[in-house]
Amino acid sequence: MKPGNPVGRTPTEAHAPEPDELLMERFLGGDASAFEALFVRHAARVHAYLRRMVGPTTAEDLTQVTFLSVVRSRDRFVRGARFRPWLYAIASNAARDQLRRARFEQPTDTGELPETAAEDVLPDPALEKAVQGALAQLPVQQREAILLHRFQGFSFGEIAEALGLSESAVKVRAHRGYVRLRALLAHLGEET
Amino acid sequence: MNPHQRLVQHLAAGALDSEDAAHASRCPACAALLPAGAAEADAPVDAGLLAALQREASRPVRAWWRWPALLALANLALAAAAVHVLEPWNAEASTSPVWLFLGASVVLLGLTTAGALLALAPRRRWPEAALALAGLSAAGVLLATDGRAANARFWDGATCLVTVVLLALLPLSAGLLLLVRVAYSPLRALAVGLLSAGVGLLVLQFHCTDGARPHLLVFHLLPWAVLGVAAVLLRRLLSTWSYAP
Repeated sequence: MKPGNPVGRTPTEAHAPEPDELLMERFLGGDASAFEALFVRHAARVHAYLRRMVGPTTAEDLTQVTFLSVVRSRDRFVRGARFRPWLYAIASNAARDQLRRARFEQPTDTGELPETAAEDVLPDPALEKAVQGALAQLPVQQREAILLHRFQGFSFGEIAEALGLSESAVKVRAHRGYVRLRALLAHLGEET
Repeated sequence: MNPHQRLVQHLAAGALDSEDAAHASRCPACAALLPAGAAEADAPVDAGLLAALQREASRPVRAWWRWPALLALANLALAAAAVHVLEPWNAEASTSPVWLFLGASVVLLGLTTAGALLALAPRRRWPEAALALAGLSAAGVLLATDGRAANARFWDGATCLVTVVLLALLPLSAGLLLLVRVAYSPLRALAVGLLSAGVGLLVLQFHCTDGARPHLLVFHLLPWAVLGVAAVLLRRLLSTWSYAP
């Protein structure tokens, strides 16, 4: 498992699922069932990512919009490219557009963004609350870099591909985000 | 191994993943095996949506470059028609070197045609190439001139400004329609704005006899640049049909 892989996510080499890129190839060839497989494989995780990006109310709509964009713009998928960064590029674009058009869903008084996908919930509820609140205070660029790295298990290379940035730019964003996150969560360390 | 077996195996190993959860959301028997709430939390989209997406997915795939190529052809046709209709011909009146004049015209032609394909390509760096072409075009307009002022008064040249704006209306509208089919990107929108307004620049390259640089800057390049920025602002206001890069 890569460092930073989310809780509960394990590789499934045992029964060797068809790679995303092959499914996408089949989808581009007109096989709609390949799209279903991609959807089933990624929908929950995209939803979890979008929840952390924009909050729960709009995350569901944006998940749908993300996959609708995959379908509508499948001709824009560059053959030979990796599918996951492309998918998350779409999700990130949708989230950024949402954040630009509407005010970000405000955290509650306790600094919490309510409800999080089960697979991304940290085992300690107090820590989960604090992390949610701290994430909500990060600038969008730092938040998406951290969410993709820490919660989606992306490498910096994959994040760079998804966000259309250089790898070093992504590292700078993530580093700044982690520093800020650490500062925001510093009180937790003092309490324990 | 079918999805039911896969879920059971992962459940026993404590290694449930999103694929299992999504399966459980459609399979009550498997959902009953999961810890309370797990299936619901991991199944954000219902089967009805999946069916709707699959209907959309069954439509044939068309190459991404089809519409940009059509825009390029339309720009070319519009420029050719305008050059044909408008007189006089600067090519005869200008005393600037022919190679420079032709070079600038070719770059402008490239901007208005190939620029459409570059600006709307799915590869991230290609819109930057369209912007580079736009920069070359601006330089070409300023360099391929004899510097002679043809208008008695500076403001008489304002007809060139009107020409740039009027000739950009159709290409810009079409370009915006194509821009909403991809995720908002200021660079891409700027490239589309500049290539659309480039039709006017190309036509004036053959039509305008005023070679004074202040005239070129104020009545050719300024409206061209303003239309580029307008494309970014307009695209920002429009809704997005697809968020693909």
